[in-house]
Amino acid sequence: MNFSKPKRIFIVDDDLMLSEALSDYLTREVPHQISLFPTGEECLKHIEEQPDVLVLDYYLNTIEKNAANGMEILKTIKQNYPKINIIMLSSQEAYSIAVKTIQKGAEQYVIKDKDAFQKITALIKDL
Amino acid sequence: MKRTILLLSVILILFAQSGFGQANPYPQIDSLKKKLSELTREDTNRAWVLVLISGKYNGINADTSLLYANEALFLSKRLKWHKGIVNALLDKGNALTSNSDYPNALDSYLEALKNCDAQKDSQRTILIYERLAHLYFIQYKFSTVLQYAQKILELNKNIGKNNKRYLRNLASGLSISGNAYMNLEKPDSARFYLLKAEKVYQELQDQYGLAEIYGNLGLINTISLGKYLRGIDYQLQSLEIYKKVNDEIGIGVNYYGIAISYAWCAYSGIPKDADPILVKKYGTNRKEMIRLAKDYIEKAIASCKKSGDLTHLPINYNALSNIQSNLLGDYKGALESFKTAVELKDSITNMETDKKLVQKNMQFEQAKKDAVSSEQLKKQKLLRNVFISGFALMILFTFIIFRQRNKMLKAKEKAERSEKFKEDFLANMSHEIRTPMNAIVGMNALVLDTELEPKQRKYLTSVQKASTNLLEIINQILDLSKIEAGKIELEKIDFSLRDVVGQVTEVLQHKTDKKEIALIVDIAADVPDIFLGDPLRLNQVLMNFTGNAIKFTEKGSVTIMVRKLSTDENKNITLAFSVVDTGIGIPKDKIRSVFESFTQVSAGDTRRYGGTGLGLTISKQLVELMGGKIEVESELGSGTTFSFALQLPIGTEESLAQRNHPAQVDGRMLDGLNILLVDDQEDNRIVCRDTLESKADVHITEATNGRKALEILKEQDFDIILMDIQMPEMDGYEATRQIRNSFPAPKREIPVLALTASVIKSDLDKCKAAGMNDYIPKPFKTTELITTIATLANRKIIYKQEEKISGKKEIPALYNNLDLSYLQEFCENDQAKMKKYINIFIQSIPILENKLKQATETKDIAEIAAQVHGFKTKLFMMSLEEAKNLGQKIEVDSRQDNPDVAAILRDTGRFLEMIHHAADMINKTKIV
Repeated sequence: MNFSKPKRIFIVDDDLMLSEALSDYLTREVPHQISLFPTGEECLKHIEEQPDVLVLDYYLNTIEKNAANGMEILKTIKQNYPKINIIMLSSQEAYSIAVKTIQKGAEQYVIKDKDAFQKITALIKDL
Repeated sequence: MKRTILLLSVILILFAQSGFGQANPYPQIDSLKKKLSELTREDTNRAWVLVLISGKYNGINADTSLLYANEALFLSKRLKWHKGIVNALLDKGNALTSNSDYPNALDSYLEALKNCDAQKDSQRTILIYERLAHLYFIQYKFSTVLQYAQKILELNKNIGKNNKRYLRNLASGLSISGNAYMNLEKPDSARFYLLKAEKVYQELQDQYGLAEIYGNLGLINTISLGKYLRGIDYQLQSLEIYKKVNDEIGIGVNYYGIAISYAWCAYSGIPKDADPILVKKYGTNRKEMIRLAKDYIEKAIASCKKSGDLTHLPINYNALSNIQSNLLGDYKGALESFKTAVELKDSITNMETDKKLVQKNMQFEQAKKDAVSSEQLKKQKLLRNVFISGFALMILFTFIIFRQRNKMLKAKEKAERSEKFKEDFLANMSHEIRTPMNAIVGMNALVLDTELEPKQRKYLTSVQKASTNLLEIINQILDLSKIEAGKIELEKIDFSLRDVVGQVTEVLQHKTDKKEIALIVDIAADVPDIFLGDPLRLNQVLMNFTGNAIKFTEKGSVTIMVRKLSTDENKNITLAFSVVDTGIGIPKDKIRSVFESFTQVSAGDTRRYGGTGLGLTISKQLVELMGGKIEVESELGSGTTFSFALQLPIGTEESLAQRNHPAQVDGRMLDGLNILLVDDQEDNRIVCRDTLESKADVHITEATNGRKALEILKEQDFDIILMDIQMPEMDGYEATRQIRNSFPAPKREIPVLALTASVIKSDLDKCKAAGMNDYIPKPFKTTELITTIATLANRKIIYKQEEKISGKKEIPALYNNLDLSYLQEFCENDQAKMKKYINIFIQSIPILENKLKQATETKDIAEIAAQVHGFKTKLFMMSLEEAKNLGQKIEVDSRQDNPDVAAILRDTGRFLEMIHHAADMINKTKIV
């Protein structure tokens, strides 16, 4: 099996259930060091820690109406820290959004479906 | 008397031959079919081509004609196109008449009449009257025939003399009247109408019509009026025309008529009042007349043989016999002719029997009843007519059926073949399909019991589900025959309503996913979960309606809705089941026909809808069997709702638990048993052995057929024998019989459990009769096998207490029962992690509630959808399937162009209710 090294991972999603679950899922095989943030703003406060991977939800306004959306965060981070790998997470199966995020530097655009965790795990492994 | 006999037969034959002239088949069918294949749109053009094809097939192949007529009818009805409906019904009636299905033919014509405005469309109405007259004619109801003939003449006044059709209708009405009077034995009235008809046909220059009129006038003159020479004159005219148009039957009949005219003239002498012109023309000496009579009758016989008209042959031979004995004194020849006539008649009588057989085989139950009553009437009539005219009518009758003899023989063969095929099919279905299915289901279950990668488990679980479904389908088909025979029995066991509905969604989910429509389960919270009834049948019905709904829905959703309607004093609950879709809908006038067509399962419908069409038939009958009635509401473009209400008693949880958790049976209760397993199929033996050995510590000895089993049993002792039925050398029945009859006690008492692939009751009865103690249908369920063996071997049935946390359990769509097995699996049974997630869930509820309440107040549908969407992962982790489905419905509904705000708000309320309920359950169980 192709073991991946432990990585520093940020997960930005306003759904704590999802963040926790993804975190647990990712650490099942590899003891990644993972931090969870409910908003992009919170994440930006810690961005100088320079994680290897950032899993970023596209829609971050379910709870905080005024929070910046994933697209804005993506742009901000990529401008300042282009080396951070960003995986966009979204429940919208929209090709146009996916293309936009990838044009802005996202590694991949993952749909929140049953296989999302598996896909993210595989992506992180390959980074 | 003899005269009458001969007369009537000829009159009727002539009439039947041309009186209602059937359309001659043209070789245009292929080009029409080609045209049909080009007409892809379901419009009146297509309907009309279907009508045309049906018409072309009429007289060639009634079954095919009927098929096209039905399709034309179906389409015309949907298009509300009256012209198409009427013409299709006419063709249908014609085809049914050809098939001797008179009651249904009558229905078709009467329905056509209903759809046809006599004043506005008099011409078409007249056509229908003509068909009705014909239909009554061939059933000897001549007074009714006369009534229709009068109606034709009456209505024809509407047509107007300037219309081309006027004269034709007039001729037809007059000719039919004349024929009816002939058969009512009123020769003067008959002659009156026929002469009038002759004038019209002359004006029309219709040679065929004239030939018919002349033939009939000839017969009246010769036989009823004793004017032989006039008769000969008319018949020669008729003959000439028939020769021109090369109508062999017409020729033959006229030869015959001329022959008997000469014969009787020779017998009684030239009438004194005969027309001198005719006497000059035809009058001659007796000897010459006898020669001519014999000559013509021989010509008639030759003509019959030439045209293959076997039905007229006995009449002709009979006439020849009369001429030979009465006029020629050739008694030996007369006897030979008579014998030939009798032989031919016998073969026709056989055809008559064939016809009855065919009818019996072919007709539906209702039609059968009708046929019986009409048959009785027919018999009464027949009896009366036999008094009047001896066996002439019998011959006529056989003549009519003769025209369809070949078709009927084929139909009969077909019917017998299909009946035989059905029987064989059912028997084989049981054995040939269930046996390999046994291997699939059984081995798959064995693999599932081993250590597996999650993916492998997922795939194999799919195999398990699919094969279980397939088995159910097989059983369904077997069921249909049982339902049809009224022999189906409903089970009355405890079941979980939500499980039943959940199974439907589980199976059909992938279809809705593919079409990107929502599949929603909406069971009201006040609906209890456990009922007493037949879960398989309920599942079957819901599966059908839901599957159907998905088929016709391209966007939006399909919802399975269950509501409590009432509870009576005996705790019986009336539930309303609905399957609601947002599909294309069914036009109002088609709703019934959809059901009709499915119940008819005609070949046309099968082509149209695909599949067997059994689904709705079974569903409809099952619902009715369960005491409900299916209702369909539909609006074009906005969707269809199939609903039915059922009254079900409340069930108990305990017995359900036993059934629903087969893994809970402890196989160890079989420990130490010594089992003889008899089966010729290695697959089956492996499945059975491994199943038992994986669950218990048993000792199994195998035998490959009954004989070997007996040999082994002689040497060894066993606790129980598991016996296959169909085996080479010696089958299970025989082996069991020998054990019971020829083995010493206590060996002869050994329990024998039949493992049978058959589900046919007669086979199961045979098991019992052979002395087997019980049977298990293959493929067997592990629990069933274990418990049955335990029961027969006098072992106490033990249930496993623990092991619920096996991680193997599927996620059931439960709402009343909180099911955390997915979470458990996800957390790899780490209690701390589970608590973490449960806490996240519980703590998120107030936030959600707050957001939803605000959004509800401001009727912010988009926000509601966003919140519900945002909660999805939590519902998934907590296995709250029902809330998840409702959430999906809310999302879908809110995205509609004109969302139903009230419904969304109502659903949002229920959504919150479900989540609160789940939280309550968690608190009660003190997991946190």
